[in-house]
Amino acid sequence: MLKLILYRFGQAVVVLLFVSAIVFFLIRLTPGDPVDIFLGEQNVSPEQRQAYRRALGLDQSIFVQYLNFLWNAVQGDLGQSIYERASVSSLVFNAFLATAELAVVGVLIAVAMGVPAALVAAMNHNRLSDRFLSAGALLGFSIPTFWLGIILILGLSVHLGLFPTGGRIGGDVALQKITGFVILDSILTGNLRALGSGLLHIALPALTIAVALAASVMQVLRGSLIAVKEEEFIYALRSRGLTQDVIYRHMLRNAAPPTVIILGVKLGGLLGGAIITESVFSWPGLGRLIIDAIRARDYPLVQGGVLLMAMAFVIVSLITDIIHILLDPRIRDGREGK
Amino acid sequence: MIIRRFPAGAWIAALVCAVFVFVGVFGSWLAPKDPNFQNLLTRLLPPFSPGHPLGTDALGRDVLSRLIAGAQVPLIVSMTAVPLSILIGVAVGLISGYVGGAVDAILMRLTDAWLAFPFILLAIAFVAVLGPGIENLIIALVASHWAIYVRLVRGQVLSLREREFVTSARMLGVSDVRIAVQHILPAVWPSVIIVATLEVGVVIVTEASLSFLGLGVSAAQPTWGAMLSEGRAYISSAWWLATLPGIVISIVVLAINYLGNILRDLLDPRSSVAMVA
Amino acid sequence: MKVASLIIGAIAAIGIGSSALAQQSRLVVGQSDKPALINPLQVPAGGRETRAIKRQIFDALVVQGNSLQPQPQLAKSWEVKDGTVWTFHLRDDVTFHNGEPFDAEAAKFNLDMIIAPDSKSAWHSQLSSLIEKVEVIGPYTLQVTTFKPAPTLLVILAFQEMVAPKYYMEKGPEGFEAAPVGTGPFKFVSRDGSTVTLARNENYWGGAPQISELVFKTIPEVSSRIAALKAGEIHIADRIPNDLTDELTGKVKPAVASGTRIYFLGMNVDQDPFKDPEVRRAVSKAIDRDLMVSALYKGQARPLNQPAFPEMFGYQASIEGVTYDPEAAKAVLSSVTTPIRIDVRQADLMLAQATQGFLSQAGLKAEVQVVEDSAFNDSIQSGRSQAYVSSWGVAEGDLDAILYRHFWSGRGATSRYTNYENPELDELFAAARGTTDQNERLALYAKVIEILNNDAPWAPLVNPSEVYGVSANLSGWEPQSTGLYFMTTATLK
Repeated sequence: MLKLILYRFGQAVVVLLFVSAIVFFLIRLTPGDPVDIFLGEQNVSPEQRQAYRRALGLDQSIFVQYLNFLWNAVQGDLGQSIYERASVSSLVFNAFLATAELAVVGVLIAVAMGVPAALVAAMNHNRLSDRFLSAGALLGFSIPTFWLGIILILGLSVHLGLFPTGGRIGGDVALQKITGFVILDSILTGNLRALGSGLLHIALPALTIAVALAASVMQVLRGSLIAVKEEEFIYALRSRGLTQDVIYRHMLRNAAPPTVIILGVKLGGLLGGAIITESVFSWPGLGRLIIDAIRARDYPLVQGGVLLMAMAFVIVSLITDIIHILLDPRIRDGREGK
Repeated sequence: MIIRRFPAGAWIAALVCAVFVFVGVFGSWLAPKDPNFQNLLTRLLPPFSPGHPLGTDALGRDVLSRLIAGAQVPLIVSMTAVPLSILIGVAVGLISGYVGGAVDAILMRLTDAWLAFPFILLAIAFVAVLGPGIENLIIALVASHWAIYVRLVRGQVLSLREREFVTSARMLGVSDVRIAVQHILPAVWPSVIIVATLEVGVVIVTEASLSFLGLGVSAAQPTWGAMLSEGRAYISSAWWLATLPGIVISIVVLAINYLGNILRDLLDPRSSVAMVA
Repeated sequence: MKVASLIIGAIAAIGIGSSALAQQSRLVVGQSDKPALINPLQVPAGGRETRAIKRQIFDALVVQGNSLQPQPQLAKSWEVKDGTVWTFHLRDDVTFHNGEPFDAEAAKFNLDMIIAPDSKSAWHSQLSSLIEKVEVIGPYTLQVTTFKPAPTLLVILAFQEMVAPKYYMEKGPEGFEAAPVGTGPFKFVSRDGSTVTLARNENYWGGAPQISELVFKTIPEVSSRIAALKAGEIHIADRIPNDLTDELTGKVKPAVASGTRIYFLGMNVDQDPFKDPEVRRAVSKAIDRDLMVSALYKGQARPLNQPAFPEMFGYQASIEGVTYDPEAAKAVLSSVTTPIRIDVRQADLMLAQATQGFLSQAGLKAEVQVVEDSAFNDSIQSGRSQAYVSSWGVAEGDLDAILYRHFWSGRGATSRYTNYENPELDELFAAARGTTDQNERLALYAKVIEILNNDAPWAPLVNPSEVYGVSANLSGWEPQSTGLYFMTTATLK
């Protein structure tokens, strides 16, 4: 068991190595010189440009640069952002917190929507409510996320004025930073205004992410529930006269594993940046940071950001795998992959 | 016999898909007006305006014609990117699962690394490197979507590999390649097809997202994603510019996913490959 | 119990009241792009947005008004002798935010830092090629000697913000960036990512501002910026597309300043079909700029009949210049068989599409290609694009700036653009640079404009006005064409 986990861990490291190599070389293949972009429309002499290139280490061979990058990264130094003049780690980490907050709230909403829907659908298998909910799930899955975001903004922000159109918190709200999570911090500091503002701002983007997620959750859980429902031990429980709620709990517990796995996979993907949603809602998360960094050819920032993204994905996958193994003893014995 | 089991919805979905394909192929002849014809004097007309049933956009171009013409790129892109992704992904999965050992380990780690990137980011990077244009867009989409099939195929190959009919074929001296292609591949196809149909929808949405970010094909070609992007700034004054293309995309993707679901029920009702793309 | 609740109520009321008061003198500006470095002596110096912030914290010797001509700021007056010796008489009542006095020594320090060989300033190459030496003649008298007559010196000096010398030497560039000190109407308080907070400088020589706190935020998405303005989260929103000015209703209104950007269609003279100046001229004639202005910019732009706008020095007010003549254009263009591809950045897409529309109507096979920002810059700077729509900001307000970067044959390999070169133009350019006599320069520029209109490497398009969204509670502020914010008289209700 421990051996399996260690093995997985080793795999994760190799994966990260590959990721770092891919992004490193890929970004340098893109046309456009970071120094030129950095200097913009200014009239800078060629000597000054060369000096900058040297200062940023861009004049060395690409392999040397890669080795330097790896060496520093292992020690925890992801370098300095070319454009922002701040350490990549701090920029990336703060952006990551924003994305993580969005992802977590999105998942919570998705679960809150998807689990009851799945339960109702499964218990009314093949009847009208089931068909209706399944169709709803299909719709939720098919709507392009970014369009959903735009429509929500159009309806709820612009026309009804209920929600703000973007950003993480109101511009005139001051919030003390403790954990970096707006909602947590406002609760911890008792700042009701910040809490209200933060919740209003996160509502639409989280809802946008949650819809597709809820659709997946609903679909998978419904399938598992339908399978479990027919199993013997449920009849046994019912014949013993247990109330419906207790029976539901048993069913859910048994039907959970595939859903948990799907959620884990999706969460890992979300941590990778709900990029388009962040773009639509101007959410200051990792996805947006990386897109801006790609546009500015800010190599260190792109590398650091993608690396963190991959790390988050890998860690979440790892944890999901471990949970899966724990939940299902049948898998502990050598079955590989999905 | 099987046909009678289809729910009514399936026929509607199939119709929608057929319309999509038809419009995508013949769009240029179907559009009532030239989708690229600008008339700066008739900008931002709302739907139901005379001569423009769905209104005009910021440059006075007819929205209906653009919606029709906008089907071409998503169709072409999805119909090429998905088969190409399958080709590469299934090949890698087959090789990885069948050969096993070190080859398997390396290929799987590479695939995992590839999967750790969000699709959009990979697509953006490829478009940035290769430049705009429909061929590059297809390459970018293939590059970001091939990895999905690998795990799927590999898992099945691993279990099939040990089955009797394979081991006996090997003992009879049948070459590995023949075994892989003639015996294992057919067993793997159903799940690949199921995922592929879902992927078509994903590819269409990804293409729209890229166009939305300004990284799609040239602006000469109207695509639904680009229309969404252009319409976004006018969201409060000309709502139809941002809503109509989105509705169209949703309907098409919905139809495709619905058919995909039915396909899955037919081929393998107990498959857990539901909506995981 | 009752007394307690009364007291609590009173405290709450005072709290709300005072926070309301404090809030009222807090002005928030929402900008479309984030600031780069605030330190004037380092790159990246950033664009308009950064400059807007810098000019709150710092002053320069001179400042541009709406006419783009330099006006006195830290320098009260100046004179030029023999064309190369500039004597500046500086104000004697100015102190830096940290108490250091501003005097000729401080000014000399700043200019020396820029022209020093190891300088990291954005203006190093321009100033060091102009200025021979900087001397202190009296406590408030500065003398600048140039190698040759330098007519553009004053305008360039408008961009050189003054930092506190002792403070700068103590803190070093990084320390200075973290806590910059200047002589401006607002003092630096903090910077959180792209949000910069400033506080009123009570001792400002130009009179203390009415606003006590000034905040600059970055809201890149225009719809979010407008929404934030309407919600009262910000009081000024910059870069509102002219198309969306109708959105500014209710508690907000538009405020317009004339712009300093020239939008143009660049044609690569080394590639077909643009090798032939006849074709280039025809392309220019095919474009209905008045329609563009009225349709795309709701009238808030100026059609350009030359590669200059009225406030620019060198602008020829009395010529006819480039005109809209679709018949003449069609006569030439309908026989052109080479298709053209117009590269454009995402941000300028609509203008490019409108341009392409006109060209298509004139019989030219034209299509628009959106190119990602960095790749676009790469392509035009190396002179690879066949045609492109882009813009150039001429904050300097002098035709020299455009010639230097786009048309002078000595402009270098990273500024190829249209690959246009003309020895006659070079001579005129050098001559105009070589004299401080503005009349002489104007005459020379008249010839330059004639050449540029005739050779048409550019088809000039429009010069849009800059539209700002402004809260109805704000008064005492007018937008400037330079993009700077003169805030000392601004008040919030």
